Amino acid sequence: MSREAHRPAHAAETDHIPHEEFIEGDRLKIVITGLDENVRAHAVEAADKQLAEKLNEGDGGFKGFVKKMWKQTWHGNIMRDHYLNKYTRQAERRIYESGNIEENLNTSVQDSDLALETTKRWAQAFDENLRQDLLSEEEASTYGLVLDRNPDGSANPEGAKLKSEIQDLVEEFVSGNIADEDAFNEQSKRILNDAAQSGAHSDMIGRGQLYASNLFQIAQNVQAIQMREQSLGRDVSVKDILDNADIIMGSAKVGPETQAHLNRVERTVEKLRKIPILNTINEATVATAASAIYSIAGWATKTAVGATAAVVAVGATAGVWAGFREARRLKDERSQHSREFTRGEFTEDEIAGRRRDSIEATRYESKSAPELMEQLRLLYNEDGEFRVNDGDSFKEAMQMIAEIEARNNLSSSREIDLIHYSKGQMSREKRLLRMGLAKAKVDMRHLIEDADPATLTAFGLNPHDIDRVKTDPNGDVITFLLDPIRDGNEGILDVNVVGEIDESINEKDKLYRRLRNKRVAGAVVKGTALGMALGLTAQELIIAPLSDNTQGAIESTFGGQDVDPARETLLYALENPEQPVDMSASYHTVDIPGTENKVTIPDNLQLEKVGDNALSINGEDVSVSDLPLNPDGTLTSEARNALAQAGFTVNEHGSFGPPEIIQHEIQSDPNSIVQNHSDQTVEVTRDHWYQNDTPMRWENGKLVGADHNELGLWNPWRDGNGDVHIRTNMTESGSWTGEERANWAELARDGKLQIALSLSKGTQHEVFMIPINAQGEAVIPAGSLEENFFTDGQGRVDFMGKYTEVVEIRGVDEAGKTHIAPLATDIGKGLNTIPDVITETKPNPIIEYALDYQPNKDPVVAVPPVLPWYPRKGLELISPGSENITIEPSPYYLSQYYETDPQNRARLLSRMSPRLRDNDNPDIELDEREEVEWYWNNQTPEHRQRVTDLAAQAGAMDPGVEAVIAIPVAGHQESKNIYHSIYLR
Amino acid sequence: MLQDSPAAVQFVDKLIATKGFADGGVDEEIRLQLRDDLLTELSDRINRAIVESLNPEQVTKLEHLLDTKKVDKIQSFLHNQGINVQGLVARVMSEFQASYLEEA
Repeated sequence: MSREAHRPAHAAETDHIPHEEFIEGDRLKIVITGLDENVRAHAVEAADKQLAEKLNEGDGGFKGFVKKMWKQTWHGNIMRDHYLNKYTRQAERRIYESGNIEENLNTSVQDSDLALETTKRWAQAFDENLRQDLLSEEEASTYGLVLDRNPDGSANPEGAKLKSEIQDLVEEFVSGNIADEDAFNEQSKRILNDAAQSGAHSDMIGRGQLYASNLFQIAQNVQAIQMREQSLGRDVSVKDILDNADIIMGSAKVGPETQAHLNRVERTVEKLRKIPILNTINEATVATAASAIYSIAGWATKTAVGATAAVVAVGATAGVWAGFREARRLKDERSQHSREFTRGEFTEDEIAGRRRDSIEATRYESKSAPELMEQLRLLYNEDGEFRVNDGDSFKEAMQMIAEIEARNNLSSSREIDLIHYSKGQMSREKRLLRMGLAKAKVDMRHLIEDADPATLTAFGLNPHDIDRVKTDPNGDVITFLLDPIRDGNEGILDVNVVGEIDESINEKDKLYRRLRNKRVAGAVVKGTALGMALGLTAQELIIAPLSDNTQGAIESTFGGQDVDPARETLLYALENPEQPVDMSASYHTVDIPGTENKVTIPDNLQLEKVGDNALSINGEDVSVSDLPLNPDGTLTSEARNALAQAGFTVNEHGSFGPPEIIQHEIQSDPNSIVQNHSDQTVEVTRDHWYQNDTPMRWENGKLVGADHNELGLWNPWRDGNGDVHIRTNMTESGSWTGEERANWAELARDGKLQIALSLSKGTQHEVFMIPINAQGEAVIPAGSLEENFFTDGQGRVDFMGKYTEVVEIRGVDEAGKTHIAPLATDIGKGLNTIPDVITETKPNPIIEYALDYQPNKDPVVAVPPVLPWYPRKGLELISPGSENITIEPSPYYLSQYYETDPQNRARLLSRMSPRLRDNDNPDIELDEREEVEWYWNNQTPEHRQRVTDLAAQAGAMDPGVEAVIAIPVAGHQESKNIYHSIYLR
Repeated sequence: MLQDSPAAVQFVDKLIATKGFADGGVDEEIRLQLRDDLLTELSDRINRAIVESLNPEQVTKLEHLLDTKKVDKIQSFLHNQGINVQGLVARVMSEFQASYLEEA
């Protein structure tokens, strides 16, 4: 292509710059963001999907059913990890080959503008004021500029080299030598790979194998600038233009927040890979596991009863493992479902299938990005002017800002998704929403800074806030107003935004735990029963027919009889019971030294311990030496086999000694402590605070406004026994709010005055309660869980949690929540980790072996293997629109865009109001009473009855109702959101 | 690497033998390479299972231990977090055994 042909025809006639978002003033913004950190997570997600597709594919009929069951057992259970690893590797390869992070997603779901939108977001983050809203904390930590000179003025050769190479590339583009976008991208890939190889920018773009950059858009901008300047008679070189360019680099996070956890798991696994694994687990752990696994295989006993007992014992273990597996997979599925929803792969209405439905119930309640953007748009009038001008609109705006910010922050910090996006629009909507939030905050800041005290009072700010806003010119007013809200308080709002979202998250987690417990219990039962059944079947159908020395029951039914078999299958042994073993000989019992296990052997034999972990048995007729023991003092499979070969029958009986109670003191976060001790916490809701009509407020960074009994909570102290005392010093009339009063002495006497300990803001709805006695004192006994939450400081005792409150107990509602009202509050350290005591009950199994010696050649009964395999369905695939939903137009308005056949059109017209249909005048004024009556009478009797029944559910109207307001919603889309849509706080 | 664990080496050797690759089944050099590969894969699976059993906060703490080279604290960290490492390793090894022996 010639240079002239390559230039856009209109370029010389206009000063149009094609990508204005990458230029500010006369400075271009080159953005190069590394995406490597996202690759593994995207590949894992793709593997999950591929496996789900595999498990869901299949034909009908019996053959198809069997095939599907096998696939669900083989791919979905036994070999699941293997296939996931395989698919992940394949997906990773495809991503790197294509250079597209979403290569493995269905094309309809792929975010086609991901690279461009990511670089736009990073370019806008050049403005330091916007950066914290546009980038996540993790992204911001990698944000940097590539400079050809270091801050101290010395040369930065790597930076200069990169800039020079970019300049060469852009010159090649402008000259037409590299005109094709693919060729341009190939060359830019080469440059950036070289830069990554040098390692000079690894702190910003990581490995630099996959990235998103705007180099092509920058080249187009440079070309347009050069042509514009030339048309004005000024000659500028590419170098001149690029000298005015900033190169921004960093590692971008793309995809749903839930995926961030996958990223971190992968990163941690990678780090663990670099250290010897015996730092993580010890040799004894591996040895015990190996021994347990091998002791399952190859067991044999003398009797069918012994074999049955062994298979039941092993089956129970298999069941427990099945439970572990189920818990892990359910967690994966919850996260997969959330990612898919967040990316807009399907809507709530498209969710179908039992497993999907149950996992959907545990998905964190999220809001759609367009909905949140629409909320922000309402802050501006048609001309784009900020329309916040009174107290109501001010609070409304602050609430919107606080909610979006809370959703962003909680999503990022907890790696969950509280905002979802439209299909294929995630990166764009994420950028626009974050930009909209930043803009709203800037406009609010200007509004507050420009407002006089009277206006600020009208906005709902109290005198102290106004004083702070007006007297601290260096402070950011928005930060000042949002900080209490971010900390989980109401702040200047009437609602605790963070607290509400937090509560909703806790509710969903509760539902999830319930689902997990149910599924795990099912898996344990299924794993145990099916594991044993499969083992018996395998022994009969595979092991016995293939083995010359194992006699099987089915084999025998069809006439197959092994010559001199050494082993019998369990079923054969049960069908052909042996003569009872002569147990008339006298026996003695010997302890296995160092354990509580015992061995009973005939009196003419002696048992001795050899070294630390082996036994030997000696007698006149027989001698078996070096019988190895497991670390827990049980016989290994080698020992059992050696005994069997020597003619011993090994029967074992298990019992449990007194369990060992072990208490671990660990450092835990407040959420975990509350979860670990949910039986000791009380779920509460605060009806009001006895503030004595002097609301609390922030002043010079301190919470002030406490008076009377609000000051009546003394510092805790510890007595000589270690008990912690919390003393109150209140007057009987020192607590009130409005007309309501609380007399602490009466409350204490009635047992209605207690101390509520909240470990954190996030757990303040689940508190630990300590009764306050009639003397106004609460005593926390030494050694109790709650005593652990206090630490001895310098001359005092400190509460490490967040709030110590003296509360009135007001009653328990139907939902089981205890209603309280605080009289006094002390704010504690609010540490992120607090000591917790976990009690572990360690079972103390005692195995008693009964050895009988019969030197004969009778076959032994082989213990069938337990195969802990069962079919497991993955999540159902969701094909948006696959249900072929037809949305009919309203019979009141047939759009000209609605195409249908004449027959259907006639049918629809028959449902249209005759006044509209016959008058051919869309502007005709209708009488709503006439239309409603006509509409009602045209419905089928069944439909009319259904509507009547539904209306009856609302009950009789309260005589006090003065007005009824109908809020029209799109019922077919809003069925699951309707409650929240119309919920009036 | 699990190559340093005699119990793991013995476990994998048994797997290889069960599969029929021992006692002259394959060239000794290939058998040793196979053992090495299987130990690496088993090690990866155990690492992954451990990390996947942690919640986001626990992963952060583990990452911190790794970043600050406090690898000697990892075992006690997992114990203190209530992770049943014994059961987890047994499960992974059992699944590994099943998948390896059943692979074509």
